Amino acid sequence: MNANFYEDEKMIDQEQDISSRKAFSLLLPSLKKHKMPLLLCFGLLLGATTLSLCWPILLKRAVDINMAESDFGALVVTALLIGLIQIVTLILRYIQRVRLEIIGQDIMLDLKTRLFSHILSLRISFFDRNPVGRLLARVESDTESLRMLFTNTVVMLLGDLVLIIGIFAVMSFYNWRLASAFAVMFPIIAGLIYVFEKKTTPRFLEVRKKMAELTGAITEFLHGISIIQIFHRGAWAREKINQANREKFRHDSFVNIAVVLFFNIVFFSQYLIIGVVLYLGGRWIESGELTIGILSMFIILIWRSYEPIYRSSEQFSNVQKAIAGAKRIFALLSNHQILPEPVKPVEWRGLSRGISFENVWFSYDASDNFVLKNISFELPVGQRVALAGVTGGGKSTIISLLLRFYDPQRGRITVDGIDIRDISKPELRRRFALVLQDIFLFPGDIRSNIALESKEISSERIMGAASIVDADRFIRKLPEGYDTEISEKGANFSRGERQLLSFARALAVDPDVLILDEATSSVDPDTERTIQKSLKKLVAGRTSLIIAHRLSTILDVDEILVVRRGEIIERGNHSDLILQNGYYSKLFHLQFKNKSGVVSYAG
Amino acid sequence: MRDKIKWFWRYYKRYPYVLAVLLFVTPVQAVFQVSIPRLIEFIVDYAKTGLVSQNRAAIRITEIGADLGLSTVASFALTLIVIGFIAFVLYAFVQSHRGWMNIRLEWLFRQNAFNGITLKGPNFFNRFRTGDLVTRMTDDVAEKLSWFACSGIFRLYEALIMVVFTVAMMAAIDPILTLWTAGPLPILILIFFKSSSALDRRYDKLQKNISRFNNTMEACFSGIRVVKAYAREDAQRQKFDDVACDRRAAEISAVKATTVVDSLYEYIWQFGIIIALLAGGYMVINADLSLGKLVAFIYYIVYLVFPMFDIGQFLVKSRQSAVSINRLTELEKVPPMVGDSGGMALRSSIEGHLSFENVDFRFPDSERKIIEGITFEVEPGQTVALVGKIGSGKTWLVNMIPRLVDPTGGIIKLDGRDLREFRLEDLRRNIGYVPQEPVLFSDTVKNNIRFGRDEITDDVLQWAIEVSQLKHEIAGFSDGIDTRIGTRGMAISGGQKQRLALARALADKPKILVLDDCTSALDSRTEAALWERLHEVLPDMTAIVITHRPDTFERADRIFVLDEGKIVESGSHFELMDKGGLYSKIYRRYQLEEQVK
Repeated sequence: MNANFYEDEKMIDQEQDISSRKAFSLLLPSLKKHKMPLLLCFGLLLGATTLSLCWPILLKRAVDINMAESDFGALVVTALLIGLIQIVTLILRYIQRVRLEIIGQDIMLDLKTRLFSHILSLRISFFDRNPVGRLLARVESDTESLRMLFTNTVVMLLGDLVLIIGIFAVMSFYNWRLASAFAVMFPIIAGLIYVFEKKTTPRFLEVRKKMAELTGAITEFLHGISIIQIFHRGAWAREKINQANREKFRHDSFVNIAVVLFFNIVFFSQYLIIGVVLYLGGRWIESGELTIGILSMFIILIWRSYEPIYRSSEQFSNVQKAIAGAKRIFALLSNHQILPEPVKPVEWRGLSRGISFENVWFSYDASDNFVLKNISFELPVGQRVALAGVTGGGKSTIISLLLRFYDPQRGRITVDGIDIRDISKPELRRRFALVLQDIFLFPGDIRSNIALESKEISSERIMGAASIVDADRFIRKLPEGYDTEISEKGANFSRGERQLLSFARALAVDPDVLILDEATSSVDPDTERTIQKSLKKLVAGRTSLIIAHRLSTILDVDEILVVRRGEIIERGNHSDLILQNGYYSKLFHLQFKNKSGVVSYAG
Repeated sequence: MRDKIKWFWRYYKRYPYVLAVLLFVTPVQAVFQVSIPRLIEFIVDYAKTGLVSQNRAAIRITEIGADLGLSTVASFALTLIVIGFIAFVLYAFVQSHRGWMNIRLEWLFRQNAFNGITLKGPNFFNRFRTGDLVTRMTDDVAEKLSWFACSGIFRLYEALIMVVFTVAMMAAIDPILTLWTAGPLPILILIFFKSSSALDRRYDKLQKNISRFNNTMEACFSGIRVVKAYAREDAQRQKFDDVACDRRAAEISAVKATTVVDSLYEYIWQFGIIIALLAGGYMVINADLSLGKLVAFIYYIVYLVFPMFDIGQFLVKSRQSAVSINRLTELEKVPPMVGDSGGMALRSSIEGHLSFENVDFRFPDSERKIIEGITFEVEPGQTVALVGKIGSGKTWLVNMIPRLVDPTGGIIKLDGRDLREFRLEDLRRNIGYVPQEPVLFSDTVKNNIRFGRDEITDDVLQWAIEVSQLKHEIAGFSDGIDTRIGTRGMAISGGQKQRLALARALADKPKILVLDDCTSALDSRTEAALWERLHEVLPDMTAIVITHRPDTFERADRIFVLDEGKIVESGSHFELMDKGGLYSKIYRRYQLEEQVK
């Protein structure tokens, strides 16, 4: 997944700084919802940690009492007790971790759903500006880093705190002087950890950044490999990659040395403490102040007190990643680029008179750079209107405005005289069916792709629609029929089959108005004939707005609007326009002659 | 297995010093490491009994300590600390070398793979997608291979040494107890191996769920227009909920397994201690063993547990890394399509006389000829235009001039010499090429034009910019010629990209210029101005042009019409128009296109 590329990126729209506290307030409601299970988890953690401190005490009993009294039976009991405690600790810990994971997953599921739902409600222009990879990173990586913080870091720190306090308490109970010898060492180690984390965390992040740069460079060079070869820049490209590689290596080797040094110092300090404790302990045993069992217990406890240190690595960067992630999530959730819904939506019971564009002006960036200039036309109910013109002229934009993906800056669009801004968006869009140039297929089976996951569309209706547009025939031939899974981007279907599927999809919703963006690419004559036949059935008696590329469609429509550079420059039916011998007739000759100059299809 | 070791050896042998450190310091370090528990034993036994153990080392340490005026306990403790210190200095030494070698190998593996790839022909890139190649060079190399290549192997070595030394020390204390306590430990290898396999399966399943989750999201965002147009936001939310819930279940199942495995890892050694306590305790009670020796034993058991995990881990990772090695060697198996014969250095400059003699081209794994029997000649300074439908072979024809691919039949000559006799560098430096899709890099405008050719002077650079009609636009950029253009030129317009690619081709003042339909994204005014200027400089170069522009055809010295890889018509524009064949039809079409733009 390319989500990683966008991991550290800010959304274009909101670079505003958000405080960490504000960002984390995001989690509060979810945390509150799980208050009881959270408390239970904490209780379990407390119990498991406390219990795990018991066995060093039992070890002391084994040495000081059982062995001293040469009571093997009692020693067996002690050993079994230790085993039992271990097993109980393991079980408690298992329950605690799994429960906590479930809570964490629930909270994140909540957050992911919220994010997804929110993104989905944003206006199309938001999607124009934010690549899909970036959106995925928000829902995926950022929430994951938050979860990591929650289920790993926070809990681990809490548990470790309990552990350290517990160890110190047990030590002090048995010999406070030896305990204080241990306690003196600990702040030093803690300080060391702090310094280490502080120094290496930025370097760790730097390594990741260098790796991302390296990956980016490799990707780019591979994309441009033919140009690199043609210009004989292979050696140069290899050197560039070598440099990026070296950079990554350089940062990595620093981190490597730092990590090795740190852990070995920590390891050594462990032996240092044990050495000191043994020295003091040895002397105090001589003086009778201490028993050999207590000394053994101390050694075990010192071992245990190092567990948190080994766990502590990477926790710092986890926290940083989570903070950054939370901020980005928060920024996204506070983005409210939603096309306004009417306060009091007008009820529209379906098209009865017609659609009209009234002096519509539109620019994507709300500047003077208008892509549509003063567009006016009528589409009366039951009629068919085609838009013609070269790519980039503004035909698709007209369709986008009608579906209210964008609102025009000037002028208005009405259906049956109602401004479309006064109708709720779902109500409006429900009456339309959009058939795109190349069908967009979703992962899933054919059935769900025709119904587009709608529960309201019955199986009969799906098959009915498919059979009207002749898609039924090829679908039934598939081994699994309507349940055939769509492979990535629909590669298991031919272009013609995909086109028929998109017709079926449109027909399944039984729209008042059909919006058609015909395919430009050529298909073989047989497929073309099938598509034409199905298309005729699809548009029969239906109000349609068509971006026309096919001859038969053009010949049949009631009015053709010729769009060039955002303006309607000619209008009329096909024969009128051909007679005018203007722009349209040129376009017509260009579009409907194949490369050898012969008209490819004559109705 | 042997070929894998050979594969590693290729890299290892370059670092004899690191290898020596890893091989020889590891056992030395292990000696220090395994003596630590004995010192603990001495202290405990002395504390318990007040007597120094009947051990040569123990006696010697107390003697030296006494000479220095230290008490018995103090001399043991001090020795412990000193030996501990040496052990960890040595360990840090070994470990940092191991780590260094890991990342050094990562660099080498990746660089080697990349170096090889840069020489491959188009057949290779048809077979392996960019994303796949990048994964092999990053994920496979960094995550799976490089760690294994050094740490994986040498940790196994270290683990084996530790096991041998530790068992030897234990046996020296008490062979029977050793058998009792160390005997069951190899089971740990099995446990580790089995549990990580189980873990792998769950993570595979989780990975599939994550993919499904991401695919659902990606499809929804990519198809947002369809979703919104059909007002299916709620249906998508429902679907998202379903996949998210499935994923949650898979995550939890994976965590359950991980927790079990982690717990094994963290706690199982404590059960070893219980065994030692029971068996050793029995012996202590019967006075067959001193208490200090029991403590030392417990330490040794801990020493043994972790190597067991290392051995288990080695088994798991070696499987993964074998797959990764295969994924890298697979790339090496496809030979490059073009070889650099070396050839003689160019003595004089190139004239630019180009001739194709009965040239054929097809891909190694295909029967279909993309180019068939092409013969033509271009005089120095001439401009020829190539015309033909999409897929008629125009691009492959021009690709053969800078030897992106070589003809599979016939010969292409430059100044009367077979292209293959030139040094690739000499040949390619004399060719300026502008591709259909402008391929640019995330760097500055200047570096994109210069493209690593440092000998290009600023004057020539400015000239190339000026000919390409970029001068005014670049002046308007925030940092002028040093403006960064974003990944693959995202920050500039399509037309600017095309002209930048042209400037790049011109900047080396090539003798041969190949233009592959490279002005499609320009508005008509800029395009006209560009061609006007270009026609002024073209007489200095031999130019092969693929274009849609009627004007250019009229100015071309010769036009070749291609159809299915063959030349079907040739001649000047007027000759071909008179003929009224394929060319005249295509020409009229282009004319119409020009008019409706």
